[in-house]
Amino acid sequence: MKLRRGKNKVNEEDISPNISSIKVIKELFGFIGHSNRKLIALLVVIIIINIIVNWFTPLTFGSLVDDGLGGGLNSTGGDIEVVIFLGTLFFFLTIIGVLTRIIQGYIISKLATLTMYHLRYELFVKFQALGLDYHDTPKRTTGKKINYLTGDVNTIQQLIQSGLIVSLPNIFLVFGSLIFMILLSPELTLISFLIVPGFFGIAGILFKKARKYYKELRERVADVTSVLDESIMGMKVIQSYAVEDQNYKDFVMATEEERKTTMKTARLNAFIPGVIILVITFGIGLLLLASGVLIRAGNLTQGTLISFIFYIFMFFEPLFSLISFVTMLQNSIAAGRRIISLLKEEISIFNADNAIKVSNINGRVEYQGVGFSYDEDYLVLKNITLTVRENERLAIVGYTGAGKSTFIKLLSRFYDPVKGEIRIDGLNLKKIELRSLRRMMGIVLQDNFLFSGTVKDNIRYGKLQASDQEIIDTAKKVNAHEFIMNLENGYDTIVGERGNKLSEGQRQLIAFARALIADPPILILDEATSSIDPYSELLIQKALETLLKGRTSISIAHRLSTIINSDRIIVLDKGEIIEEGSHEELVKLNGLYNHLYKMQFKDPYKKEEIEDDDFEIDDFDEKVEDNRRFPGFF
Amino acid sequence: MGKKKKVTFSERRDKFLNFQYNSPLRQILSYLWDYKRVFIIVLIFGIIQSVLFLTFPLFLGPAVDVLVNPSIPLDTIFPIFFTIVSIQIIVGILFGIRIYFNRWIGANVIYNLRNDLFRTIQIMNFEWLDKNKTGDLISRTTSDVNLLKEFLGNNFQFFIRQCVTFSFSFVILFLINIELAFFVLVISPALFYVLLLFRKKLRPVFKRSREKYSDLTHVIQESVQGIKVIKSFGRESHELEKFSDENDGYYEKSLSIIKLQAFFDPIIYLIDNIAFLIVLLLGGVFVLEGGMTFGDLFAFVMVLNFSVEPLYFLSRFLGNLPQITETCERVVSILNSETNVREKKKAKELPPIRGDIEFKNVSFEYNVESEHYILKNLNFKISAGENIAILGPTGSGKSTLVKLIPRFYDTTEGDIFIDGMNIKEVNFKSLRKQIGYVSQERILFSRSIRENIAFGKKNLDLESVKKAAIASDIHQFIVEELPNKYNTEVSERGTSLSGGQKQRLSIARALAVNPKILILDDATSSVDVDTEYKIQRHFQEVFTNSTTFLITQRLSSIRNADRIIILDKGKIAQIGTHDDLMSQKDSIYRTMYMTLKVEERA
Repeated sequence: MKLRRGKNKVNEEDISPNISSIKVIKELFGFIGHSNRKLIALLVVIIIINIIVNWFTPLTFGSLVDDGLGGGLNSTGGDIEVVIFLGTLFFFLTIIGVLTRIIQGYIISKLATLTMYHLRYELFVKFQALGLDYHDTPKRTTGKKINYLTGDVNTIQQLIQSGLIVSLPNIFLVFGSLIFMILLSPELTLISFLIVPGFFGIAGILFKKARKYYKELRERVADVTSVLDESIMGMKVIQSYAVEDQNYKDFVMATEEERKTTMKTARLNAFIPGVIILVITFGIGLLLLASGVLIRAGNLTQGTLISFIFYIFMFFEPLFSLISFVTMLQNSIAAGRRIISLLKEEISIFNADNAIKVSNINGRVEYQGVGFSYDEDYLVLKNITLTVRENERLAIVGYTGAGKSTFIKLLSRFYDPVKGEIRIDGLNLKKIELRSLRRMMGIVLQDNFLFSGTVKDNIRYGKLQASDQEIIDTAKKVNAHEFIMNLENGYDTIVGERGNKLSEGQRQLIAFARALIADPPILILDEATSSIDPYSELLIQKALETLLKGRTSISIAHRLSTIINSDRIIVLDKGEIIEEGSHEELVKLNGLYNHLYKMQFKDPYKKEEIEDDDFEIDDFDEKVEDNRRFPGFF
Repeated sequence: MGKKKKVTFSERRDKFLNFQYNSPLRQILSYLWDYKRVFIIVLIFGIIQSVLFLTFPLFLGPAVDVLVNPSIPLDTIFPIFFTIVSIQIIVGILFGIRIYFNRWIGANVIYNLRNDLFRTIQIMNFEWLDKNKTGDLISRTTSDVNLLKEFLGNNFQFFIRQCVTFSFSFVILFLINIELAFFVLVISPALFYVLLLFRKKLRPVFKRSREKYSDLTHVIQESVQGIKVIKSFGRESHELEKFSDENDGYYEKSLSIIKLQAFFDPIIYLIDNIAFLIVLLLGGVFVLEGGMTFGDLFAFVMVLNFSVEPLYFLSRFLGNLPQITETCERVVSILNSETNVREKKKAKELPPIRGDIEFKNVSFEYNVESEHYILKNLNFKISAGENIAILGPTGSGKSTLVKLIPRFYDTTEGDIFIDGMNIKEVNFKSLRKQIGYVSQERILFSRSIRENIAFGKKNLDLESVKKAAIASDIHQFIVEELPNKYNTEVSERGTSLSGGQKQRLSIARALAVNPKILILDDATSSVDVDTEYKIQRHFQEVFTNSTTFLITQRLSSIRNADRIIILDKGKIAQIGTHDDLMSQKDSIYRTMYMTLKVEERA
């Protein structure tokens, strides 16, 4: 196997719009600004004090040497009072400098944490407000979305903490020291900058190379990770096919490459410090030599030299931190861009201004000329007109991609129809307050997410104020009580990711209970029984008869055995209702329904049956296309 | 350098499993032990380099003295400069050698460690693979190992060297000026103590903050994964409340770290800076009094700067040590994992089989002490070419039963024979190569469709690949829908396949090895009835001589098997053909079949 390189690169352009870096930084600053204005004002004051103190501290010390000690270290003509005054001044300036720096650090940490806190909150709220059109985009994997709120926010926090705010005063420090250096000694300033081109020249070459190697190393590490990732995920398959040796070879190839690249960076790394040490040694030597000449020529006092050296440090240190900040900024701007563009994401489904809160409905559902498309050019639903009577049992049948799931997603207003309108009890969906609308419906999907927590918690999710007795009653109704009691801790058994493994069927029974505990007027079953075992299905089948009484229900099922008893069955094909009627009527019609029905009970080992069936499956393309867009409901 | 005898994986594993290490850290350090000679040489180089580097101020001091004193001719400085430059060149070279070999050791140790980890994971049985979460294993073999790379390749050596540097810098301080050095000697333990105290206080706070963070992540994760359920139930505000609780909690913990820092920072900074100031002022007085030259003061301050740095480093290092130990623990727990499914030392090659299978008194339990049998005393014979369907409620042991055949688990009692040969006597490879096993998990690898299908037989020709694809009803999709047909790359970000398509590819992969025994362990759950029907038909045509096991949710598929095994609580409740089972009046099979309306066509 050859290693696929660079496939871990995320193609962000696909999912986030292009916002310029400047705008991202501006927005981020805006966020910091909102977090706590008083704190920011205090920070500004502290920073100004810090800069001014920093500017004058070296000058004080130089003057202490020159004026206080009488023009030189070797002279004896010092003025003791001046020494004490300047010494004390120097002492306090240093202390103020240190203290302001500490306070500055504290405020910045606090601001960064506050910003992170607010940012995360805003992002979470936004996440919940965004509709399924956002959440269902296949490119936005769960992992990526989680990363916006975790990794990306952390990156921004780090960015604020270690630079975004400090980098501004640093500019003042760099320029300030430069001015002081020139004022103190233009000659020495010139000489100190002599090594700068040499330094940056050599460093530039080396760093360019280093960057290349490090990029390569990152790619190699990503290769190792991706082989590892895949191997661990597929270890059972690998063992099943007894290809461990080949797999190990692939892995060693990746680790071997990583080791080699590491050694490449090591060779360069071995070289860099030596060169830097030499250049700096040379620079210091040059500076000292020049100052020796200047002192001898009487153009430089010892005090000035000392102040000058202080300023050199004050010049280079912030400069280097500015440089490293720019690198950091480059790395974190992508995170910032993702966050900002998420915050700017448009919400497609929202409440109308005077939306009505519904608390009880009869359950009459009308579709009036409803059409829908996800991407303008392909209509998933075309001109659907249908009335579901109060307490009617409606079933929808059709191939994958026929528009069945879309049909019910429109009903719970996860999407709005492109044309036509949907009414419940005669009221347009768009006029009903969103959450109150959804609370009128119980929805059970093919693969229902259970939250980590107990069985009881999960059932209660459908009705937060439900009593334990209500929970048990509901569980009994859906035939879940018995298996729950057989679990380790009964209703208090922990389920979900960290908990006990429940079978698909058991999870589904809990989902049924969760949907029914609030006694919703409308019940929606989207493939609710298609992935469960016959044993659980048996339980659900028995329960359904009673559960569906007294409410409107719409169910989609692949397994036709579950819907035969429906009041009415509609067959959807390519977004249109092509057949409608009871089971018996549709079987007699000898159309798509009858074909699907026969298919289910056909014996695959008897050839002739499929040949005498004249119905051709011609919408294969469509199925696939739809799968690409919506890989499952969950 | 690298010419030493390699420690093989099995040698090292034997050692790990038989030898009790005092601590996980020790065990990880045993990898370093392979490179002990280089390590010691590099360490010596490093110490020499640090010591030489520290002498820099010693020479710089006199140089400054010459410079600031106009009465001394400037050219006397050149010999000093020459010495400094020569020393710096040597330092630079030693520095380079040290860095290079440090990395070398680090890279090799990590290479060995990672490969060993990988090998260990490879030999673990399914039970272990199920128990250890994929994400967890990946993070242990990537980020944890990278952390150790940094530690072993860098920090560990740095730690030893800094200790030496620190002691030596004191010697130099004393050489320059005894009084000042003495003052520093008094101050620095205080600084060190405060630093350590700080780390100690910080550690539990950090730990709590990390825990809070993982809680927060968990809530975020759940609300992203469960967004549809949340929206369906209109539970947004409920979720926001949950989130806010965690967000607040994490914020508070972060603040308490900041507060702790705000308390300790001034102390540390002040001790450091005030000490520095006092040295400067005290030194200034000494200079004025003539007890010390200006150059010496200059050198002293410089060395002082060098010596403070190791202090910060040491406290950070000691503070991080628990984290490193924790990391080692996680890594070592993989290395020391035991598996009870092992190849016999002199395992035989299983010759090409026909496919007769016999279970003789087979029992299985995960934990021998618990007496909780998953399978209890199974006895049956299956002849080559038979189609067997297995049915039973969740937890009845269906999946475990079929997993015993390729030895993903081993029976705890009794034996399984294939063509009369006990499967415990043969090697894994020859056994598993002749069995096709497809599970419900839809795992594909990021390589081409063709390579995915030919996964078990690397050089399979395209014709056979196609044959397998046709049999699993995915060929049409591949040639009509995929941009590069059989050469289309499968990857997370590339062509996305639906669950059903992935499942069909997994089946094709199993068929491609032309297995004599085929096991479909709920492998068709995501394909629709039409497709399952087709697969079964194709399969029947092409693989007439293979023994098959089918676990499925669909009664319609089960019905057609030659024989049906009904499992209940690990025991065989019924076994027979569809007609046999239907003829038994009170059988669960019959009840199920009747209730689920399948009888309408029957």
